[in-house]
Amino acid sequence: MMPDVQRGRELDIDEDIGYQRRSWTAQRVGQAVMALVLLAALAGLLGPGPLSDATARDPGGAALQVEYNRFWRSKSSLTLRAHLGPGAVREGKARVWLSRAYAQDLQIQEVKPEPDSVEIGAERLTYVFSFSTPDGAPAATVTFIGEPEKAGTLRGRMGLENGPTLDFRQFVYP
Amino acid sequence: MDAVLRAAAMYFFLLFVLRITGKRSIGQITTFDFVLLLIIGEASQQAMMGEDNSFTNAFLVILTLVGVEQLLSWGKQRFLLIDRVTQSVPLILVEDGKPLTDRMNRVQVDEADIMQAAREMQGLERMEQIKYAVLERNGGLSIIPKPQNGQA
Repeated sequence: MMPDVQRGRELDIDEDIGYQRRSWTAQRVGQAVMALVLLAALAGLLGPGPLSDATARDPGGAALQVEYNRFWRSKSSLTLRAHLGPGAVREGKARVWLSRAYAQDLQIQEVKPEPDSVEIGAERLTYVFSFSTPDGAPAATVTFIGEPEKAGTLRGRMGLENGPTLDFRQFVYP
Repeated sequence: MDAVLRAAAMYFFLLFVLRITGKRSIGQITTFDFVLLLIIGEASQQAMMGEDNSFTNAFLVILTLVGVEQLLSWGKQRFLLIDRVTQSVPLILVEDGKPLTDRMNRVQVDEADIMQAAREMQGLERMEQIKYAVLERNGGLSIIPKPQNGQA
């Protein structure tokens, strides 16, 4: 640690070039960390962005697809887009459900278009939408807007009654 | 509870960022730095207060910030490490009229900055007249002139 000449012998100064060099190194590391955080944010690892956008789709048919964000932040408005395919409508009704635990974590504030009714079950919240188009016609997109309060992992679970169930995970930063 | 945690987290985050970006004293702040500081203040205020505009929340945030500050200044007196982590150490940049260029490059101070400080504070004209120039821990430059002929 002492390749450096002792400077300022006549000064009563607490210079410490060893510490100074280590702190310069620490600054470099800190600057690298800052740069990485910014790159991660641009990529979407800290919230919205390309790496955050994801789609869950049912393996069988095209009845249900959900666009969601893998990473989000608490207290900011979070959108889920559920695309209902032709198979989703039966007898003029589409019945989309969310698990109650997920709905609770997501703190749903708005559903567009507004459902006809919401049914509260033991495990599920079911949103019922009416269609005037014949069954089998291309259906619609339903948007759920929430604002998660708590940080942590949200276990998304959404499905169609008598249809597929989609599971996905979202991580919410504080 | 979370008002205290948020304010403390913001304090340490800002300390980290400002220490990482190196020394700069209030005297050297440019107009643009000042504008940046205002924006930083605005951005951190949102996060510290959250959606709670109550008197109690503001009270807690202020108490936390002042409390952490007090705690650190208490710690600085007793623990060398805290002192150095929060404030760094002084650094000699000129010795006997010779600029120590590798150090000056590291801290982004050039000879013009040193000569400006020498003129302003000591009325010196040339680098040779400087005995020591020190970058102080608060980011300011101190100039110690060589003794005049006859006095030494």
